[in-house]
Order: sequence, then structure tokens, then C-alpha cells
Amino acid sequence: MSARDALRARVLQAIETRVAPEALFLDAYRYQQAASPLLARLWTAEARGIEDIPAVPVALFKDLDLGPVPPLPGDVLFRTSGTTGSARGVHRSRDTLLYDLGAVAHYREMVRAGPARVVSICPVDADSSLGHMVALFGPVEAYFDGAVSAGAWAALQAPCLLATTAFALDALFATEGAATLDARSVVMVTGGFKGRHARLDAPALYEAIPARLGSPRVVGEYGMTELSSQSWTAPVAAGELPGAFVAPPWMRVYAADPHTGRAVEGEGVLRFVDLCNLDSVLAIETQDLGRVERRDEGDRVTLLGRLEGAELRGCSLRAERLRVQA
Amino acid sequence: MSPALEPLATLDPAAFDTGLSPENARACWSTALACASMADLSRPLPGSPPGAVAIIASANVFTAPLEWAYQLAGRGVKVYLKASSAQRASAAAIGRIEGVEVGHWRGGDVAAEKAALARVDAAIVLGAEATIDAIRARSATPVVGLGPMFGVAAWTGDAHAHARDAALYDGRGCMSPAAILGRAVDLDALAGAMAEAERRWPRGRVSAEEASEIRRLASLARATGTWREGPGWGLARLPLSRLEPRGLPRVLCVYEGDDDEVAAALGPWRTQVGTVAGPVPGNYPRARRCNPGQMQAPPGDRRLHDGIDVMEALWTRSS
Repeated sequence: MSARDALRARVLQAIETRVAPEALFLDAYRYQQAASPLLARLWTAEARGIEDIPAVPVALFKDLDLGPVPPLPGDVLFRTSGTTGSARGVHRSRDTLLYDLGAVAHYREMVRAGPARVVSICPVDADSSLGHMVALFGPVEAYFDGAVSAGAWAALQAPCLLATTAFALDALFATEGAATLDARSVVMVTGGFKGRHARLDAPALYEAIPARLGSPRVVGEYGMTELSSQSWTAPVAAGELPGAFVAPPWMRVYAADPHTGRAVEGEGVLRFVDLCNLDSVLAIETQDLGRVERRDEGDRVTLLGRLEGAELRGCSLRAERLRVQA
Repeated sequence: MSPALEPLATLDPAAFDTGLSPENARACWSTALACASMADLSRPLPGSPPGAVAIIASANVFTAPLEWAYQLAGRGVKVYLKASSAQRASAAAIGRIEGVEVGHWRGGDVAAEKAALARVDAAIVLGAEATIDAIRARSATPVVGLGPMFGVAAWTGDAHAHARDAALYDGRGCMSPAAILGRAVDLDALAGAMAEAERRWPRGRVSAEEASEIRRLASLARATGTWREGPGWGLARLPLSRLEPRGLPRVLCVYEGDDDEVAAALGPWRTQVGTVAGPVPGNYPRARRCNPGQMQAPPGDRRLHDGIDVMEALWTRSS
């Protein structure tokens, strides 16, 4: 059995038992360090604890393919969404076994009794990880194609899982219609509330749910292309704001000082160490700010915003802000 | 030093809250005053002088409006200076030049902007392209726009000169070196010079986003080239194919290649190169050329900035 297969078996066991010992994270680190020449250059130190594993900045997925498995034609590629002309990050893995089993296991743990039918109002590309994840929860009826598609309201019949982003939900509410979902239904809201051109009022959006959708349960989902595992909030009643996100036990979360990069108690930039990223990069540093509460059953994460809002000072700007001359 | 600027030379820019260290703020201030003094105020200009000009500066280095305020006021033009709220103190200092009046309004306050532009014959807007375009679209007043630019330098062996260029404004200026280009760059010498520059002009505040971006660059350099760092500075050697202009605080990027390769790599940005130090191969139509160590105050012909004769454009009201 190869080192990858042996580790994969241990990760599968962690998903099944919801117990992921620290030694497994450290073994996965050593495996990726040994198997990826690029990661070996980044990860030169011995790790004694999970927070010693150097977190790779998420933006590096736009620059490099860091994974420990060499590329093959059948590899699975998830790409980040991108604006015109900007590079898209690519998350490559040999297959989606860990992704799929981990996603479904934690969804079931957090959401419980999830409906079998999925109505997706998500702006997703064919190579989006969000689209892939949603399809794991049941047959998908998609009603977003650049805008909310006709028929979306009619499709919202109980019981169903309405999978949507905050902005897509806002767009749905901007159209005429209403649904009468009951507690057998779930509204999953993912994505941030601050876009390139607008900022949504999160409480107002959640408070509008009873009037427009009835009384479904509401959950928040936090995931990103560069991670194979997701965090979920506990379901709340329609009209309430979801609380903290709970990561699965096989994905550890901690906060780091955004200036020094050192792990901190309290608020900081969020770092995820995801065993399901066995084929890519174990430890990721995001540009999200948050507060983390360590729990064996799953770290609890409160999102506090994004680094992107900070303005680069000076009149020399980053390349993506310059108009590239062809 | 021009007599008109002497009152400004007595001020301590460490009190301006520029985000720079006191030592660096002072070095930038004295360099900017010396640079402004080099302007020839008697140079004949075509057209007719405007009665009043607004200078609107946003997200620039704190000395950016100085040169234009000095030249305009020195030619008898009334100047209304609007700087960002973060630069009230440095704007007030520039307002000590006779004929310069400082005002403030919140960025995007269209009514205040409209009222200010109604009082002038032309405007200089320093800032992002989007800001310049938006102001142009909203106003009939001729606007001279000075958008984001960057500098590049050829490796000449004078590591201290390169490090000085990178230290002033902590590398955030449009005339700061975003790249050191050439062959056989001595990273040890550059690292030593960066450390010495840090001791002389310590790095100032670094935002969380900048720190995050530095970690990304460091990871990229470790994976594909070389990364060196010390307290308050960083040095990346990256493949030329990774060339990307960056204005990260006190981080110098080195890209090695032959002349043809360098010119090709810079090609996509050739019109955004505003300052070239040393013999960088390629044609940069808007760039001022100088030697390393002079990038923040290039000597010689002062008429053009970013390829624009700003005074002539104001006198002819060309937008």
C-alpha cells in the first residue's frame, strides 16, 4: 500500500468515527512534505503540533500546483470564480472520495434530516466545488443562470434544500414570489455578504426569510475551493441569524495574527488544516478574519470579515489593479 | 531650496501620521522638497495660465501633491488642494505654500467635488484609474490624471542605491522599484543593504492585507526561487515569468534574465513604467530615466511626469 493510500484509509476512518488524532495531521504533513518538491521547499521545518504546519496562503493556488500527486489527465479540478482577466485558483486532486464522504458526513451531522431534493440558486460554473458539493446532497434543480431563473419560486416546494449564496438569495427576494416551506426544508446560505460593488445587510436578509419562504430551518455553510471540507452552522428557525460555524473534526481551524503570521488566541486570520486535502495542500491561510474556539468535536468559527477590505496604501498598486496593456 | 518651500522644510513630517517611520518620513519629505525645487518655474508654456487649479489626491504617497502645488502657486495660479482624510496633516503642510488652499471632502461626495471643480479652470487628479475616470465623467472641468505607475531598475551592483530606492516611502511610491532586473544579481549584497536601510530608515506600519500579501510572495519565492528576510524587510528572487509589479512595503523583487527576456517580460506593462533606473532594456514611453539611488527624485528634465507635461496640459486645458 502506498503512503497516500495508507493515509487515505486513516482519513476515511477519521470521517467515519469523527475522531482525528493530531498524529494523523502530522503524518499527512510529512507525507506531503516528502511527496511534493514544491511543498518541500516551503515546508522545511519539523512540525510538532498542528499549528506548526506552515499554512500556504490561499492566493498561491492561483500561482502554483503544489500537490503531492503528479498531474494526470483524469484529475479533478475545482476552480475559483474569477473576474475577467484575473487568474483563477485551481484545486487539483486525484479523485473526490475524501471530499464527497467528508462533505456528506458533516452535512448530515450538522443539518440532520436533510431533504432529498435540492433546489440550487447558486451562481456556479461547471468546475465549481460549490456546485459539486450541492450535488452530493440530492438531485439538483438549478435556477440560476446569470440571474434567478424563471420557475425558481415554483420549484420551492416542501420538503427541499434551497442551496443559495447570500447574494443569490437577495436576488431571489428581489423577484416576485413566495414559498411556504416547512421545517422539513432547509435553506443553506453560503458566501459572503460583501461583494465587489455592494454589501448586503445580513440580519435583514435572514429576517426576510419567514415572509418569503415560510418556516424552513436555516443553516450557514462556509467553504472554499481550496478546501475539501466545509463548516456548517447549527440549523436555526427561519428569521434567526445562524451562529458560529462548526468545522468537522478532520479539519482543524486556528487564528493567526495577520501581521506576524503567528497563531493567536482570539481574533485573527483563519487557517484551516484539512485532512481531506490529502492530494493538495494540508494547511491553508485564508483572507478571512475570525475567532476560533477549539473543540474536539469540531472547532467553532465566528467569521468577522475579510482582509480584502484593507486598502493598499501608496500610488504603486498591485498588478491586478493596473490596466495591462496587450 | 526654493524660498517658497523653506517654511515647509522647517516642519517635522514625523507628526503627519504618514504610516512611515519618523526617519523615513523625514527622508521622503526632504527628498520631495528637493525634487520640487528642481522645477523650472520660468519655463515658457503655450496657452494661457489657468486662474485656479484643483489638486485632488487619494491613496497616494503623502508628498504626491507637493510638486504640483509648488509649481502652480509659483506661477501665480490659485491652488485648491483636496487630499485624503488620512493625509490632512501633510496637506495642511503643503497648504503653507502661499496661494495654496486646503479643503477636505469625503471621497465620493459628488456635490462637494462638483462645487470644488466649479471654482477652478482645471484639475489634477492623482489616484486610481477608476477615480480619475469617474471624476472626468462627472465634470466638464479639464482633468489631468496621474494614475498608478511603477518603477523598475537594472541591477548595477550598487546594492545600497537599490535599497535606498526601495526604502523611501517603504516602497509604496509610484517611483519605487517594483523590480530589480538583470543577471548575476548579488542577493547577499542586496540583503545586507536592505538590512542597513532598515536600520537607517525603519519600516513603518504594514497593513494586515499587505502582511498577508508578503506571506504569499514569500511562499511563491521559496517555492520557485529564493526568499531572504530580516526584521522589517524582504527580498525575493523569482523567475522572470512571474514578473508582477508589486508595491509591498520594503520588499524588493529580483528577476533575472537576458535583455530580450527582460524587455519581453515588461512588455505588457510598458506604459505603466514611470521610472527606470539604470540600463533596463526596452522602450517605456512614459518613463523618466535615472540612476539607481535617484528614483524618488530623478534629476534632469522635470517637464514630464508619467510621460505627461502636466503644466503644459493645464495651460492648454487638455484633458
